[in-house]
Amino acid sequence: MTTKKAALLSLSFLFIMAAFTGCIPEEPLPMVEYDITDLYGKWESGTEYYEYFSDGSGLCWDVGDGVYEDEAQEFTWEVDESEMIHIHKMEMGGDVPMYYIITELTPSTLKYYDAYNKADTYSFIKVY
Amino acid sequence: MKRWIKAGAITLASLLTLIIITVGIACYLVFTPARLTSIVNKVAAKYLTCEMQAVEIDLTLFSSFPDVALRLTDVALINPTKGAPSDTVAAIAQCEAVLDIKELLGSSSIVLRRLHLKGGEANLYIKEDGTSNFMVFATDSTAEEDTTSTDFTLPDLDIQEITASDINVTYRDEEAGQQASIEDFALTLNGQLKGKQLKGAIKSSLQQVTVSMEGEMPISATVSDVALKLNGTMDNTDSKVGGSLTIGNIKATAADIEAGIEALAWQLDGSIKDSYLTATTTLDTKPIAISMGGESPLSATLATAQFEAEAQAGGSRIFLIPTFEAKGVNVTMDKEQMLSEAEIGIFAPLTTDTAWQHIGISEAGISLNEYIITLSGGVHIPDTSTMDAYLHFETEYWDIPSLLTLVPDSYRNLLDGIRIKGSTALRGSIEGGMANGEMAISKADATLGLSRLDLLYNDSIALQSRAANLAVTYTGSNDRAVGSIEASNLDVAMTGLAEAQLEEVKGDFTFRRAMHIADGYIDAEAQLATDRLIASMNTMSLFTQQPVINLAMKATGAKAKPVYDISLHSDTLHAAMGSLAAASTGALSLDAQASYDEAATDLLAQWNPRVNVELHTGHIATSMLTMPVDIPHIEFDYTDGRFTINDSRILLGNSDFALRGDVTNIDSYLNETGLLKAELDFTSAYTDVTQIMDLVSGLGASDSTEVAEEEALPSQQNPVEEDDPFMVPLGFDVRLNTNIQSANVNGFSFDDIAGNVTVKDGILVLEEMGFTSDAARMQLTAMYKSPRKDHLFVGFDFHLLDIEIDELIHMIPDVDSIVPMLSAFDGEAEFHLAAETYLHSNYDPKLSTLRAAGAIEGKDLVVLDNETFDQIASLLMFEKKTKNVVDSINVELSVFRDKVTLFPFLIAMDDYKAVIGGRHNIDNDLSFNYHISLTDCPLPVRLGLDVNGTLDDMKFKLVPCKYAHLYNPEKQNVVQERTLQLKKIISESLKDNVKPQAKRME
Repeated sequence: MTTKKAALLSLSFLFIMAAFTGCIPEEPLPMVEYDITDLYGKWESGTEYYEYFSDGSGLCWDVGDGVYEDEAQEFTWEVDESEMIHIHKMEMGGDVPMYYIITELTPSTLKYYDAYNKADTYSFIKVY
Repeated sequence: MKRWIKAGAITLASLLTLIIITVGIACYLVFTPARLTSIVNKVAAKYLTCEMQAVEIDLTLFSSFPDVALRLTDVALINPTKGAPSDTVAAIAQCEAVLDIKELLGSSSIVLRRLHLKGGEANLYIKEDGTSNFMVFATDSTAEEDTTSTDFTLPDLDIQEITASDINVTYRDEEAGQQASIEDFALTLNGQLKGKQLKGAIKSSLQQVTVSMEGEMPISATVSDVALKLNGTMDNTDSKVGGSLTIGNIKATAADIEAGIEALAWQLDGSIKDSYLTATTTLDTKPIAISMGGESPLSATLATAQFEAEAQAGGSRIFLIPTFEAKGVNVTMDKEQMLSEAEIGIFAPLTTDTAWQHIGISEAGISLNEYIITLSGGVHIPDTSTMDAYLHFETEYWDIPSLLTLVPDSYRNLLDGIRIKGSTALRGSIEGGMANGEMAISKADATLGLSRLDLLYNDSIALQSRAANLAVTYTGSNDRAVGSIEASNLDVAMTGLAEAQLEEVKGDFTFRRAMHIADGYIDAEAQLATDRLIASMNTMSLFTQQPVINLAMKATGAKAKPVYDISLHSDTLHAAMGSLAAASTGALSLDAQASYDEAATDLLAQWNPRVNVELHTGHIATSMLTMPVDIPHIEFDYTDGRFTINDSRILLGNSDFALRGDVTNIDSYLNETGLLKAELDFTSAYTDVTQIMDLVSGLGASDSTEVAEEEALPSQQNPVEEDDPFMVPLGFDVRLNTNIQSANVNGFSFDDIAGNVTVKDGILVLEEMGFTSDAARMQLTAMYKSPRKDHLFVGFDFHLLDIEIDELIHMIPDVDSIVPMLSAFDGEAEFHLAAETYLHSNYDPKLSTLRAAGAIEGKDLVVLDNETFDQIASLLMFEKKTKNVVDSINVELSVFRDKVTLFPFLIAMDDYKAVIGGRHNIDNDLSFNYHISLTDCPLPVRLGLDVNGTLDDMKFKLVPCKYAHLYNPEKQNVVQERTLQLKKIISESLKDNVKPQAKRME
C-alpha cells in the first residue's frame, strides 16, 4: 500500500467516523400560533371530508369509499400551535392517535403534514 | 158387554119406546093430522125451550097394520141466536118411522121396520160466552134424583132399516174458534140385539166434510166422498167385526202445512173369541201430497202408502205387528230434491200389556230403499209422568257409493271430487226415559264400522283402510261420552306429495259433560296409539314405533277460554329428507297445553301454549353438514311467552356442548312492539370451533349478486358488486353466555373460554370472551353490525396475555405483516389489539374507515438467528452471540386508513440499545419505510439504518441516527416527547379493556 492510498483510507475512515459518531439534530418544528376558530367547520379534500366542532370533537368520512355524512366516524382533536392531534376512538375501545403538523390554517384553507412522514401532506378546502 | 154398547142399546130402546107410545096415543086419541100436530106442538112446548114447527104430522095404523107408521113433514126447531148463521137449529124435510106393533105387544120385542130421514139440516152454534143455540131441552128442577136401583133388561131389538139421506150440518164454536160442516150425509144402518148377541151393519157416506180451527196454528180440512161400512156380531164369547172406510179425497191445511190424499181405503177385521182378540187392518192410500211452507219449504209425495197391522190380545198380553210401506216417495226441501222415487218401510212387531205399561219391540226395521235399520227395544211406562225406554239399532254393511246416491242433488256439490269405495255399518243403542216430565238419555252408544275403505279426494288425497271402527258410548249419569277408534291400518296419501301409513291404530277419547258441549262446557281427552307410523312427503319420510298421542280439552262455559292438553310419546322416531337430512330419536316426549282466547289479537296470545319436550338419543345427519349431530338429551319448554331450554347435550363433530336458558318477550316480538330476548348458556367440555365454522360456512349464503345500491353517489370511485352478506337480524336481543372448558381454533387449544355473544337489534357482539391456551390467556370482544348491505361494521378488541410470540404469529399471521420484525423474537409477550372498519357487501374493507391500535410488550426475548437479523447485525456491528436476549420491548402501533405506524420502540440487548420505528402501507406490495437507531453500543459510533422497500425487495441504508434521544427526557425534542405521549395513549386505551378476571390471571 502506498502512502497516498493509506492517507486516503485514513481520511475516509475519519469522515465516516465523523458522520456516525452522533445523531444529526432534527429540524425544529415551525411553531406557529393559528386562530383555532378557523378550524371549526366542514372541510373537503376530494371525496374526503372532515368536520371540526368547537368542543374538540369531529367527524370524518369518505364518500368515495361509500361512506356518507350520517355514517361518519368520530374523533377528538386538539391543536397546540402547529401540532394537531386527532384521536380516533374506536367503538370497541382503543385510541388511534394521528399526529400532524399544521402548515396553513386560514378561514378557507387547511394544510398539514404527517409528523412522522413529512412527505404525507394534506390539503383541505372549507365547505362551511 | 161393553158399557158404550149397553148405553147405546138403552138409548135406542128408549127412543123406540117413545115412538111406540106416541103411536099408541095417536091410535087411540088422534087420528087427524091437524089434531096430532097440535098435540105434538103442545108436548114440544113443554119439553123444548125453543119453538118447534111442524107442517104436518101423520100417523097411520090401520093402513099399515100390523105396523104403525108416523110421518113428519117439514119439522124444524127454531131458536134465533145472535151470531148464528140461521135461526133454524135443526130441520128435517121428511121423517117416517114404521114399528111392528104386533111384535111389540106380543113378544115385547122391538121391531123397527124402517126409519127414514130425508132432507135435513142442522146449524149448531156456540157463542163466545159458551151458550149455544142447540141447548133447547127444558130441565125439570123439581125432579128428584132417582137413587133406586133398577134391574133393567134390554128387550130384543130388531132394527131392520134406518136410513138418512141428504143431510147437511154446520157447526160453529166461537168460543173455541172451530167450525165444521158436513154436506150430503147419508146413512144406512141395520142391527139386531137378541139376548146378549148383537149384530149389525152400518153404511154411511157423505159428500164433503170441512173442519177449521183457529188459533196459533189454524187448521182446516176437507174430506169428500166418504164411505163407511161396518158389520159385526157380538156376544159374550165370540165377537167378530169387519169394516171398511173409503175416502175419495182429503185435503188439510194447518198453518203453512198442506196435505192431500187422493184416495184412502181402510179395512178392519177383528174377532174376540174366549177373550182372545185377533185383528188385522190394512190402510191403502193412493198419492199423498204434503207441503210445508216457511223458511225451508218442504213438500213430499207418496205414490202409494200401505199400512197393515195384525193384533192379537189374550190375557194380559197384546201382540201387534204394524207394517208401513210407502213407494214412490219424493221429498223436496228448499226446492231441492231430498228423496226421489224412494221406498220407505217400517216393520215394528211389538208386545205390550193391556195397560200399555210395558212395550217391547223385537226385530223391527226401518228401511229406505234397500237400506234397513234393524231395531229392538222396549218402553216401560209405570205412570203418566215416568217412562223408561231402550232402543238398539243395527245395520248391515252398506255399500257406500250406493248409499251416497241418496244424497240430494243440492248437496252433491259437497261430494265433488270425492270418490269413495267400501262399505259401512252402524250399530248402537239408546237408553233413556222421562222422569218428572223431563226427557233424559241415561246411556247411548254407537259404533260406525268401515270396511275396505278407499277414499280419493280431488285426485290428490287418498285414504285407505282395510277395516276401521269408531265407537262412542254416552253415560247420562255422569254426562260422559267415551269412545274408541280402531283400525287395522290407515294409509293416507297426498298424491305426489306425502303419504302416511299407520298400522294397528287404536284410539280412545272421553267427553265429560258431553251434553253441555253446545253450551261451551267442553271437558274431553283422547289418546291415539299405533304400533307403527310410516309417513313420507316428497323426499321426506317419517317412521315411528309405538307413538302415543294424548289430547285433552277443557272449557267451563261458552265464554270461558278452552284449555287444550296434548302429549306425544314415542319410543322410536326416524325422519328423513331424501339424501339431504335424516334424523332419529329414541324416547320422545311432548306435552303441551294451550288455552284459546279469541279476544287476543296475536296467535301466541290467543293460544297461550305451554309446551314441554324431552328427547333422548337424537341423531341428525344432513348433507349440509359433513358430519352428523347427536343429541343425547334435550329438554325444553315454553310457558307464558318464555321458551326455556332446561337441559341439553349436543354432540357436533368433535364438539360436545349444552345449551340452557330462556327466550323471552316473544309476544312483544310477534306484536312488533319489542325485541325478542334470549339469554342462553353455552356450556361445553370441548368445542372444536374450527370444525364448527367449517361446518356452517356458507350456510344460507346466496349465489345471487346484486349491483351496488342505487343511491351510491356517482363519485364513488370503485363501486363494488353487492353480494349477500350476513345481515344481523333486527328485532332480536340474544345473549349467549359461553363457558367452554377446552376449544380448538385452527389447531390451537384454548381452555376456560368464558364470555358472551350478543345479538341485539342488528348488532352482533362477542363480549369479553376470555380463554387460555397453551400459548396465552386471551380476551376477545368483537362486534359486527349491518346497517345496510354495503356498509357493514366489524370491530374487535383482542388481548393475548403471556403469549409465545411464535404462537401469536402462528395464530394471527397478519401480525407478522403489521410488525414484521416480531418474527425475529422468541419468548413470551403480551399483545393488545383493537381494530374496526366498515366493509363492503363482499367484505372488502373500506380502507378510509380502517382504524387499529396495537401494543406488544415483551421481556427477555431471544433474537432468532435469521438472514435479516444477520444483515442488520452486520450493518450495525452487533456482537452476535449464540443466544441474543432482548431485555424488553414495548411496541405501540396504529393503523389509520391504509397506513400502519410503528411508533418508535426501544430494544435493549446486552450493551446494545436500538430504537426502531417507521411506517408501512397496506397496499398491494406492503411497501414500508423503517428506521433503526443504534443509540447505545460498545463502539464509539451511533449508527442509523433505514430499511425500506418491500418484503421481496428489502433495501438497507446506513443513515444518521434518528431516535438518539427518544428516551432521554433532557434531550428529546417536541416530536419525541409527543411520540411517547401517544404511545402511552395507545397502550393505556388498550389495556383499559382487559377485564379484571384476565388481569388476575396475569
